[in-house]
Amino acid sequence: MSAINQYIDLYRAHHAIIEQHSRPVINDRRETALNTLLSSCLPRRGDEGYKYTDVNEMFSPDLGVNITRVPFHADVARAFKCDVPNISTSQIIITNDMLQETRGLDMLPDGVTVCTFARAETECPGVLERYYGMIADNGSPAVALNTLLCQDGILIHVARGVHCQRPIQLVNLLAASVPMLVSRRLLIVLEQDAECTLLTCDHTHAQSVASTISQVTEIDLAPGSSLRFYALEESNATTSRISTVQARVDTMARLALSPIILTSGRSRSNINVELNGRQADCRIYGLATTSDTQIADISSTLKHNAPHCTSDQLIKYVADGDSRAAFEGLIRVEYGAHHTEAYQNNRNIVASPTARIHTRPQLEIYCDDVKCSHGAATGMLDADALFYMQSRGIPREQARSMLMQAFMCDILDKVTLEPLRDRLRHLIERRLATMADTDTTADGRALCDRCGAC
Amino acid sequence: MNNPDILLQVNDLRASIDTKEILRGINLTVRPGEVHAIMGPNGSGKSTLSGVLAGNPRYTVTGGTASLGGVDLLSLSPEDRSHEGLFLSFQYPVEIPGVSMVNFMRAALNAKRKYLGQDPLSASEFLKLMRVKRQVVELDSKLASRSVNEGFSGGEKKRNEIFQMAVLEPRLSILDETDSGLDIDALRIVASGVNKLKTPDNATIVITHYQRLLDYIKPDYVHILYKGRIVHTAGPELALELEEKGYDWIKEQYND
Repeated sequence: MSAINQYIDLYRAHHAIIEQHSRPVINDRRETALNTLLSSCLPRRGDEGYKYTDVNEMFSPDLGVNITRVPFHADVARAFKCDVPNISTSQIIITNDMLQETRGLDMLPDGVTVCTFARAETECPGVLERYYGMIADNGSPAVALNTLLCQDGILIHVARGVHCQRPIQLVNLLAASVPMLVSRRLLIVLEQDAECTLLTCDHTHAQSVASTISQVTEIDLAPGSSLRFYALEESNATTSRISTVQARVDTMARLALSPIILTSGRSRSNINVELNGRQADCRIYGLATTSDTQIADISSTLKHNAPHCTSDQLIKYVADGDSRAAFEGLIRVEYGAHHTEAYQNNRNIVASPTARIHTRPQLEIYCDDVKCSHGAATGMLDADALFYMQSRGIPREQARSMLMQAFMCDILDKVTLEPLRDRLRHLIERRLATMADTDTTADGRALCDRCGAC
Repeated sequence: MNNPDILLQVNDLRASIDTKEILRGINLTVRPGEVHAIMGPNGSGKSTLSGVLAGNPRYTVTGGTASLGGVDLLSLSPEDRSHEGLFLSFQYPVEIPGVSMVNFMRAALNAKRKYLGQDPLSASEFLKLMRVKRQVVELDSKLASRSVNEGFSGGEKKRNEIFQMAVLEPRLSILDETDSGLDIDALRIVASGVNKLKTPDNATIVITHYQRLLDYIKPDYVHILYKGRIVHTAGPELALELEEKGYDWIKEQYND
């Protein structure tokens, strides 16, 4: 039975309440979403492109939706400290799907707006109407379900020519006392020649019960603009998350995207980028470390729709325990996108006999005069290197951990924000140390109480 | 029973790789302050012997004993053998991209200190030690910030091995064909490094094909390993004899 039906029923029964707590533009998009959902199913394990992730199953439990927008009494979030050392960020903290708190937004330069959709019309008139729900593909059931139930979200808007040096940090905290479906929405609009760096940190509170997060991020980059987007996930085994990032990149605009999955339960990321203007550029450098029975799954589609665009992707996985990791990547070079340069690479380490990694790099070229390559390699830790390190007295588990870290270091080298890079290095070191220690047992640590990212 | 006069005691050591028996009963006694050379034709088991003593999991020990300072080596993990004072200089040092020499050596040294119940070295103490030990083999300070052996020349790799030996201060060092791939200058530097590290309390086993290295590192004993057994032991003059006559006479005499 399709998991969608219960949400359609919920929507039909309570659409008045849902709409009452939302801006009109959000309500306007629901009709299309509903039509999609009435005629489609969520992907199941084994469907094309879904080797390990069962999206239908993520939504199958009887999940609660906070349609009346009951505020969350969160000492949790209040106590929640999020400082990357030596780096000053302006923060927005979201608990479940509601704004909890902001910190230091007043320190952002003029022309940078960070607000909820509820305040978007006041703070940044016209933007929501123009972009919300217009970028992400409402024909995708996962996106449509998000659009159907979404009541609020965060808008980041940078005005023409404004360079926002101060990184913006969006902390998404899941703290559910009953099983919940949390629908989060993010809209990022950079006007011409604007620049901005965004760090998102997704966490789950230790006492939270099994829940599902549906996330849709829409990005529009006007000509000459530049967005660096680091998406860190450090949740726990009880959390299922499906995230869709849809980006449109115009002439000479640049998008650098780093999905970093340190811990998760089931995590599926769809990353869809359209390079729509000449010399647009996209870089995706991501990593995932999985252990126990976790699933990390990244699927990227990069469409080269215009000539002289460049793209580069490097995704690295280390899978331990009984975990599963999957990467499916498609580069599609459309008619007329000549002088495209597009590269895609997926490198993986299977660190235990029962872990599995699935990889499927794909390239479709409908145009002459392009430079493209794709590749994938999956192997085990180098036994000779392990013995060499042990013979120098480095204990086996530590040697394993050092080798796994070393494997990830080129992804970290791509992180241009230096304090963040140092912090990520430390987090990955800590993560891999626990992996190497336990080998297979659940670590079940309460990551979010001392949110490492932060 | 621990006899302080004996550092390494190997009795009837047998080992195989897959199902092929390579070591067929090795007997060897090494005392503190001694230098032993092990020579022998290709495929006689020289590298296997060093690998088995260091605990390389590729080999299966099928019989015999080996002890270092009275401690049963064969029951220890490779890291604990190192902590007990065994050091193997690899014939082919492994490149480890992404692990810096500094982190590698700090992890190694602090693991040993922990095993011995000592506190880890502070960052400044550690760097000072690195500086001092680098001089033993005239190793460029830049190499320390690079990944372990990555992009090192053949000579740099071997010098790096001796540098690690200088830091870890082993009781017994096994140099597995340390001369292979070295030009004459590098050979001199490496050999002089080994000689500088020599004390009355430690010992060295030099595995080599050629007499050349033994001009620089003077052995007290020369053993000939053939078909998995030490078939002949004599003083340093044996190396010269082998250089002159080759291994054919050994093969004739001991081909069974």
